[in-house]
Amino acid sequence: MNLLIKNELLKVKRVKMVYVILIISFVPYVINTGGMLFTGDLDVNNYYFFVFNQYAILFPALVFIFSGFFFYHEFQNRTTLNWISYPFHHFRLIVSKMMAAFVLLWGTSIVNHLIHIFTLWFLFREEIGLVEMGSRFLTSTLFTMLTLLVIPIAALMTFVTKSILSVVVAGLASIFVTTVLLGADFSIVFPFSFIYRITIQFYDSAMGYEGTQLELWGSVILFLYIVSSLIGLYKYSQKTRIT
Amino acid sequence: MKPLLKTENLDVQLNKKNILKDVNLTFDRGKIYGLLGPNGAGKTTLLKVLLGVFHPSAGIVTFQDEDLYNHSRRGLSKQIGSIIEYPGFYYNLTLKENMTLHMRYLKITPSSEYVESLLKEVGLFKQKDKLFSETSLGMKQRLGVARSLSHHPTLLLLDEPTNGLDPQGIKEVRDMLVKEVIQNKTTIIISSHLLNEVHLMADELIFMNHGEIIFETINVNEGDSSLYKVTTTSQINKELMDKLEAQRVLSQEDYTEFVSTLSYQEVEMILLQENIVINKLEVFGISLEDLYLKLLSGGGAYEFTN
Repeated sequence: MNLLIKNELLKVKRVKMVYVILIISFVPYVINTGGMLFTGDLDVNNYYFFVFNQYAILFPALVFIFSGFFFYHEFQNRTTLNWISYPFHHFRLIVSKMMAAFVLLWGTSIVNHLIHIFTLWFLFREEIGLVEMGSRFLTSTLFTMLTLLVIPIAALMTFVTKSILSVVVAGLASIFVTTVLLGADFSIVFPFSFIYRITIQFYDSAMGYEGTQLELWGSVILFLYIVSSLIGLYKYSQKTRIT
Repeated sequence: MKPLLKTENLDVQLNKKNILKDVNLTFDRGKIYGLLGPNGAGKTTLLKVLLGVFHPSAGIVTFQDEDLYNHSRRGLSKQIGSIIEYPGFYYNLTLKENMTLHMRYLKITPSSEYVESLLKEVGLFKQKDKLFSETSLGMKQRLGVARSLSHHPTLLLLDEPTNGLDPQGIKEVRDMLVKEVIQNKTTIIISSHLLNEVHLMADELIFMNHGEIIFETINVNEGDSSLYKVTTTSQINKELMDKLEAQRVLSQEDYTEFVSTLSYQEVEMILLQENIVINKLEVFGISLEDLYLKLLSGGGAYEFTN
């Protein structure tokens, strides 16, 4: 699998879109840190929350678009026909692609969080302890990990539609859907709003769900989304020809 | 010698349409087969079946004495090389990177020197660091050929591999393929519209039309074979065709056309020995192009000069 992931990483060498998407993920940090330093309105809690909040809305859309692009790259180059001549099951090739997207997004996201937390420490080191910083870093990291679980959904959408536009539209639409649903208990039905609520409670428990039942149902729904996407991809991989 | 690849009663249906009908072919090791026919004849579909992309609706494909579909994917990918439809490469990678990537997928750990030697063989060494997006169609085709040969497959399936190449490029690719056959006893099945190109390379020719094999013949030099038209009401059966070393082109109620390398006198003698009542025996010089057009016109309409 390592070799396949390495191959996937080589495939996106020099693809500007990849760099653009990864750089965009730093926008919440840059805007909020710059804004805070510019206005001089320094507040330890606001700073963490504002960056996290914007990141939590933007990052899922980027994950969706990035993953979609990763798969679309194969259709664009008409290289899916090559898959028949490779000694690997198509599903393994799909999984390696998802894992490569995971690695790149996870790495960028962790760098994002580390810079964020380091800035937090640098500006507010007298107000915030190591434990609080650690818990905030964990909140951000948990959010990243859970969000990256939606990669199969984006992959399946790309396979079915073979259109990058549909994935981009779905990614951008997810920003609005997340924002609209965020405050309601109904947010458990939408993966991104559920992930936001489930992770933010580690920072502020009042922002999570009331009662474990909603959390459980939300987890089941998220699980179903992921499993059904993986089943869909597996079914797709069994086609003798993927074009 | 056992054939490398064999198809028996092969049918392929796509969207309820018969794309291939009762295809029976045998491919021996170390030979080049030219697949000829107009667009829509079923050539690419046949190559895809042989590659395992399409499964036949009926019939059997045997590869190395075993059902093709019983072979493991790993085994087949090591033994079969192909260019089907279009050689897919990554536009953002250089030619060398594209080759390296493909070989890594085939679990070959390619040394830089080996990749470069392959590129040199197809005349792409100077362009090795050029991005695929910056190359011409001819270069793309050459890279496709280099890639299909990179693991020295037992069977090579090529769909229009010289598309977009200039005469020098065509010659280089031809030399490369012939060298591969000589050195590794590779069997090559090449589909092309370029009759002369196939004629220069192939050992045997297979003509297809409307999903059917309409004619098979050994490729001989121009002038070595002739088209015979024997007007007779006697039946000319397969055994007689074999004695005449002939391939039947057309049989009508009162005449039969066949291609043979035998001389007029030899043909006449065999027919008389077999008690065939000859009303008229005509012989025509035939080029590959003549034969192709004759076969596509259904056998009768094409006019030859005597």
